[in-house]
Amino acid sequence: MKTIKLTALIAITSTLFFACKKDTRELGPRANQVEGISTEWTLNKVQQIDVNVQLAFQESDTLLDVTETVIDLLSSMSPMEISFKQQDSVFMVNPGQGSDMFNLKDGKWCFDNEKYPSKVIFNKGTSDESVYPLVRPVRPQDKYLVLKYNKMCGSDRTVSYHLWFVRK
Amino acid sequence: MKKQLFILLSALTAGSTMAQKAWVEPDPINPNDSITVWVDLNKCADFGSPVLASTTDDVYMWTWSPREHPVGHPLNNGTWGASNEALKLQKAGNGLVYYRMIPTSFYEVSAAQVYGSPIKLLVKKKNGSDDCGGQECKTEDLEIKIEAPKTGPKKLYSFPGLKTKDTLSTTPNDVITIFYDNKLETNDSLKGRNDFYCVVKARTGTGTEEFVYYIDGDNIKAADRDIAGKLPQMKMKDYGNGKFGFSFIPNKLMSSANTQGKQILSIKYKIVRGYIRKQYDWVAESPEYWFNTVCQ
Repeated sequence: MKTIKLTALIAITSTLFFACKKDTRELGPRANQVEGISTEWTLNKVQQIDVNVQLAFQESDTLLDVTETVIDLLSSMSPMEISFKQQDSVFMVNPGQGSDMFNLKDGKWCFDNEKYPSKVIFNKGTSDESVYPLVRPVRPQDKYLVLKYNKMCGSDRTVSYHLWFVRK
Repeated sequence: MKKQLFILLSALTAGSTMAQKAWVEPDPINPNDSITVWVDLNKCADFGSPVLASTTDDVYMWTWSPREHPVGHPLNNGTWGASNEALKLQKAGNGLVYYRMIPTSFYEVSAAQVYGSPIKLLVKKKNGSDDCGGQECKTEDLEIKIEAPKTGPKKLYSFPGLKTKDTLSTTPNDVITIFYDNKLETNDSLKGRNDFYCVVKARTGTGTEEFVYYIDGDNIKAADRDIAGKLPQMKMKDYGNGKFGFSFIPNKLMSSANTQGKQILSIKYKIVRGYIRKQYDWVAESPEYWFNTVCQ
């Protein structure tokens, strides 16, 4: 009886062990973010960040959704749009609500690192160069492109905005 | 009546500014960081002050609060006949003298003591007993009260918050939100209400009348009492729990009133009810926030 029980235990344990071993998953190919960003985007949401807060107890102490102020849904003017083209690395801004707040026009764009981007650089190496950190990755399957706009006065950051663009 | 009060207040404010003999910079201060103690000797009138204002001799600070250092301490005042060289004041011209220090280090006290006990000082010549026009060579006692930063919940505040006492780091082309916490209201006419409007006016010059507005929140006339009807764009959003907010871009909000397109230097606002029935239908305070005019 004792031998039967032992044999059964070994059999069950072996089954579980091999079953687990076969369940190993593999990572898919790395998402191509150049491909992810290369399309047309519409400004959809704007958050303002207070850069002067030294002691924050909750997120609302430092971040406020100001979408309704920047994008008036009753207005006949559409929200600003931005398009990125992989070919030629050009970007183009279609002016609209919000575009007067942000210093973006047309020109060339690139990532700081094509494989692992953390920033979008507009008009690199020119007097109009501006750098917008990526708040989150922008893979082909991502619905949103979220850029951080740091407004500077000399070397001081005066305020920041998170610009949420939705894929068109 | 309101106009008379305004004139009286302006006169008092001007008087107090004119009478400022000693002060500190920056304002507000960080007690653990460098500050500059300033004295305008031209404003000091007692004892030998008029002579001190124009003397070419060195002048010294004599201080005893928040703490007086004992004899032997390197920052002790010295003796009345021979001040400590470490307390010599720098001259900025035109009777202005100053001393730079870190308050907590200089007085060897805590930040709370800096806020709790004013800086008390006088200015004197090395030998205070010298003859300065028949008087001792010293000013009257001077006092600088350091105000503690206001912490905790506030009834009225902005987002982004103020960078300094009354100045924002943002420009009139940025979004600003005025928040009003009705839970902290003491005016019974406003408690528990939810029809609030933020009546904004924009300053375009430093004069008392240099504002552009749709309705002057500081001088609401009987014809303007239907605020909800006249200024629907200034309605405050109910954020719940007694909190109301109004977000706007000053250049955009005031564009129709600012017909000459002047630079907006500040905004001043008054929180009022949608329909004003009596003079208590508004929040007593009407703060003014200045913008960053360096980078517009």
